[in-house]
Amino acid sequence: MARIRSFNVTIPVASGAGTGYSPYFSGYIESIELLTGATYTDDQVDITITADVTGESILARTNQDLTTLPLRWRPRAATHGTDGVVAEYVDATAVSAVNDRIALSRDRVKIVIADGGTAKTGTFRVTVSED
Amino acid sequence: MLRRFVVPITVDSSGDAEVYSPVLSGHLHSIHYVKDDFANGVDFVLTLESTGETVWSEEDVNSSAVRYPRAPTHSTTGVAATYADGEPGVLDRIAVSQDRIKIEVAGGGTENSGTIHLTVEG
Repeated sequence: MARIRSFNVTIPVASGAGTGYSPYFSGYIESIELLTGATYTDDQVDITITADVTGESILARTNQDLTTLPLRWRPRAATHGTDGVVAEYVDATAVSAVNDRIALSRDRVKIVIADGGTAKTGTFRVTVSED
Repeated sequence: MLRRFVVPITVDSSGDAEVYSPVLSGHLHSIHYVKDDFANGVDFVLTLESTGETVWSEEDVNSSAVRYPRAPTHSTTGVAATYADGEPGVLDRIAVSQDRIKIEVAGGGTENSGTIHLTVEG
């Protein structure tokens, strides 16, 4: 049975920019949420989330609309054939990538805020499963 | 349990290298090539040492890259499974048992470096 854990990461910004980190863990990213109460500048804030150690991209959002909080994402990465070509459910006439959960091991989630406004804040909730 | 194996690579003066992961068992979930100063156009061939099964083979890689390699699955008659007739195959993670992943690099430049991260469940 998978063990599910969540980490809250609060990132205040003084003049638009800020960075926060989850604790180190080994597991799969299930979801990432920006919780109710975030005060970043609507339609301007940029959110970039990566694996800190490897640099793997997890989620990138620009000029994010914060009208309706919380925001919730379940980011998944593209899978590939052994030839490195992206796997698809159907042929090229209707491309739909086969994705899978993003795995981090001995790593942490890095969240970078840009254009978040002056003296603003927000809390992200990172939920992971440790199978 | 997820584990990450880090395999640093330095190619020789001809741009080639052959290195190995530790012996491991589990499902290979992802491979992350982190470029240091390998030349653009580097070629990677990753196989299981004992069986020779191809894990990842890609040429002309220019920058850091993430791959989630999956292998074809089959029916009990040995026919490759597909989502629908004539459409792409149904793939699954590659199982590794008490084996090493052999990493061959070509065209990496002259004594240049890069790193492979292998994420394995199990």
